[in-house]
Amino acid sequence: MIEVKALEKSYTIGKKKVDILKGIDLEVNRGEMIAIKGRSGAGKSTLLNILAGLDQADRGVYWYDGERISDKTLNELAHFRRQNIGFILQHYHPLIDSKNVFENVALPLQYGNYAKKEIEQRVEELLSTLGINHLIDRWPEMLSGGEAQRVAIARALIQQPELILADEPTGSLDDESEKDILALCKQLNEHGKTIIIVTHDQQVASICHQTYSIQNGKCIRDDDSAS
Amino acid sequence: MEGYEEGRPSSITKGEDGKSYHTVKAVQVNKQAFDLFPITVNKGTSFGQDDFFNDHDRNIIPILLGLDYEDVYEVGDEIEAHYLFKNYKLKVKGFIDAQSFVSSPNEPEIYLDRYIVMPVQQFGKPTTEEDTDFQEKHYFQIINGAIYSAKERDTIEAKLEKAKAFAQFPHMHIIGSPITMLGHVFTAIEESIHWLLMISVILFITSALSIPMVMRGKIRNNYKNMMIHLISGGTIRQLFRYVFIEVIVLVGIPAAFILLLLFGVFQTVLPLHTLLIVGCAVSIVILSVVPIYIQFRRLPITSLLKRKE
Repeated sequence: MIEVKALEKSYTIGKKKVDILKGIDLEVNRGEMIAIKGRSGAGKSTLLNILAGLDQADRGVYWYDGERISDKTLNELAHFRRQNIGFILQHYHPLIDSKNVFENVALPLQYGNYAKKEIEQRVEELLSTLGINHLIDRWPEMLSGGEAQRVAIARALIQQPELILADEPTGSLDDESEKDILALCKQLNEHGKTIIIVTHDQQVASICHQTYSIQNGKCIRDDDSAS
Repeated sequence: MEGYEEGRPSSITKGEDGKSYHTVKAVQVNKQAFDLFPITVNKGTSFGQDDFFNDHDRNIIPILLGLDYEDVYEVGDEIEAHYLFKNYKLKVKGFIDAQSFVSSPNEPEIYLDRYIVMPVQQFGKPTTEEDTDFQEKHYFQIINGAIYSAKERDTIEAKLEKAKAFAQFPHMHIIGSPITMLGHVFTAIEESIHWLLMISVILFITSALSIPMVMRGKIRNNYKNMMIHLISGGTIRQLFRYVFIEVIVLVGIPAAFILLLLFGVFQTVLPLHTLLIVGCAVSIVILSVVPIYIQFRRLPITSLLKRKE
């Protein structure tokens, strides 16, 4: 499903050029759930952003279902995101405060120019499936951390993407909420979603089929590093 | 007779024809004043539209008489008159009701029961020097008239400005009119125009500087929302468009409000003023948007996504 070859990315901080990714190779098959670990600043989020089409690599290639993503323009990447990617943010409150739950979840559909009636129907159906339909009219400030993250997951799922990218989705949650969210991720994976989670948390990594670590700008499969 | 109420002696003028003419109480009213004041005709007929025009140097001018004349004249009678050194026949069209009155700056109510009411004559183009001389006198004495309107002074002034432009005769002023609250404001504005200009320039510069600063601050505070839009399928260009629209609304609404206010108060706004206001609004938008655009161009998405509030 995903194939990344020799991906490189660097940033200029002040006058200094910092190489973040120095030739990442990665393959993820459909239906897999993988974790990417690494210390802060290792480049985990940078890799995730490139996979999401939010950022572009300096060198290397990225194929998604045989389609070369690394050559796409910014507008094409936005379209690619809308069609294929669900993104769960690393944030204490991952919702837009000035929009209620319905509006937050509906946002990707609005960018996709769906009809109002279809948006309403799809949001209500999804919130029911996730068991949070009772939150539909609530404002983000009225939600607990776990509820907010569930709504964020609903927003990531609303376009029915095949690939879910999660950037430390449980980073700011209490233990119980973390368990809930991980159970939900597991459930989504069992329903066929491919999931890539960037995490520091060993508990999160433990529910994944495979874990990778980013070290010195390279992506190493944990089995390989152990051996 | 003129001066009777004030105890002045009757004034008698000797005409070129050798006849003596007494100065009588008379008022001239134009069509608008005739419609505005409560002048009702008791007997005979009122003035028609044609009575105000004297295209063919008509020697007969229709008049209405105050009710005190009822015992002296009949409808259809003709009175010899000497008007501005020219002989006319005044033909009685009717008699005015006793309660009818007009106003003047000195007397708010002039009851017309002892007056001759003559329609202000609008003459055709003069053909002789004598006609020209007469019409100059005629129009000159009409200048010394009074304008009555239920509308505000500002509205009248606006209409006078239009009339000045149309007649290409700028030497006209309204004097002695009651000043409204708004009139006081405008007088104060006229007196302090230089200060106001300076304040306007300072406000313009302040707006041009503060709006981008406020917007930049707002963008910084909205990184989280921006990244949610991005992961939901939005693009940087779309986000910039939202900010651009916000700036336009922020500047456009006050500018539109000012224009509407000016149109509402003055009824006419010079194209130069409209252009100036629109120009200021566009300048503020451009000065606000350019730094924001540069900020957006330099926005590193990855750092945006990793940023925590």
